[in-house]
Amino acid sequence: MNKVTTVNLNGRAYQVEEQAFDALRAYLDEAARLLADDPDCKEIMADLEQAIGDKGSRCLGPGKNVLGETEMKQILAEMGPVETGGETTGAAHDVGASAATGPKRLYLVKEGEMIAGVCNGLAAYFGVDPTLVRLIFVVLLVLSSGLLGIAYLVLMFVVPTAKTAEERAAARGLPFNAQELVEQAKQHYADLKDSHQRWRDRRQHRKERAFWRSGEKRACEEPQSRPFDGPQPGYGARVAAGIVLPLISVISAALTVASIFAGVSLLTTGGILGWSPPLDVPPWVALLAVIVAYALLAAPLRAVRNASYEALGPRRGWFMFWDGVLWLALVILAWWIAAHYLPGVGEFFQHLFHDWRDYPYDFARAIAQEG
Amino acid sequence: MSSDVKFLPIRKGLLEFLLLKIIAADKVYVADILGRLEGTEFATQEGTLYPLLSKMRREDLVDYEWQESGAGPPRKYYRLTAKGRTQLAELNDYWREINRTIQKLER
Repeated sequence: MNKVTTVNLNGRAYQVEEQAFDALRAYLDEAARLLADDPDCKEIMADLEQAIGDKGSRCLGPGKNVLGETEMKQILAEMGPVETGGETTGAAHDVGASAATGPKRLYLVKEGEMIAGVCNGLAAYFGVDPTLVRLIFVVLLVLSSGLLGIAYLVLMFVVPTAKTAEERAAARGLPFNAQELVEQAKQHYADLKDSHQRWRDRRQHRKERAFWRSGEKRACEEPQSRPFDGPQPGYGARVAAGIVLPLISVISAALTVASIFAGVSLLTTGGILGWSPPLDVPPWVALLAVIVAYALLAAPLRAVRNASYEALGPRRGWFMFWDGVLWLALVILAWWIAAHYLPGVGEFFQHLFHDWRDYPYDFARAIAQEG
Repeated sequence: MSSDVKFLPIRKGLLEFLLLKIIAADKVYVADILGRLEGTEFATQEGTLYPLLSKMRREDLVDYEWQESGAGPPRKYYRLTAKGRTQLAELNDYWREINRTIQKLER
């Protein structure tokens, strides 16, 4: 004895056994998926349903009014797999296979960017900490009298932005495959938990409401799942974020300049503003200490910054851009003030520019080794 | 009938040509077309035929009209459009040329 379900095939009712129903549904779901991009998806689905119904009618008669699993499988085998114009599932598989080798490309990476994501993209490309790249960038920017800023602008407009998960994987040279996606999904899970729950509820609700026939229609009309719309933060939270962010920028800019100055000064004069480390401490250890101190102080600042960005809601793009500009401007301003008004610092730069032409390279190499 | 995968693209590419030929000869519906192809190298199933016919209709090569059938629901009867007939004539010429080339190379 088997349970029987009634299905609607292009406007006609058929009685099918449960296993037959499952096979039929699997076939039609697959067909709807393959035809999702076909402009005539709905019409072809209707044709296929009618053809299945016609074949089913031939199996039925006065002594038999229910389609069993065997008959349904026979019918679906006669129907054959759905083939769309040029693209077959095999071709799609090949594309996936070539992507899995993980080509590496330079992209602007917008996750945790400061200005346009150039440093972030370079960091992703070389597999190092973005903060390190930014530090090196700022040092070279000052030493090149701002010329590097032009390079930054050029990169900003020339390098494409990593928009898809595939491109973000390519930015890091990681293989893009199912496992990678699972890892990413795990990472984003916590952030999206709330909205994901709502999305699931909505889908569940739709599932319950919709007859399976309309389920196919949905596959035709919406081949991609809809994007998440995250929770909207309150007005108060956004105002607070608007006040906190510039403050954070000022503090982190000062911290960055102080750290760079301390590092450079350590390497060139063996001390920081007259204070020198004990003799038995080699300069590279002192430099490492400076970098660690910077990382320790910058981490909570970055956490607060990211939390504030989240609070700004979906329209945070512009704010993040201007906050990044503010940060860079403050770094340059602080540097300029230090160079002109702090005794010793101006001298130090004169020294640096005239006698240490090749110093940036040594410095960058030293930092790269420490990092 | 060869099931060699090397011949698969040839069969696929020629299927549209054959459909034009079948539809040009007579007003047909899908089961007729499948019946005409059955037992040949070009035996086809609904899963392939419906998307292909729909594509040809979009390209304005074929058109269909609904016709009541004695038993069951109305059927779509396909016929060629003017553009479809032109394309069929071109394909026929092209096919003859290909055959000539092949025969020339065999000598």
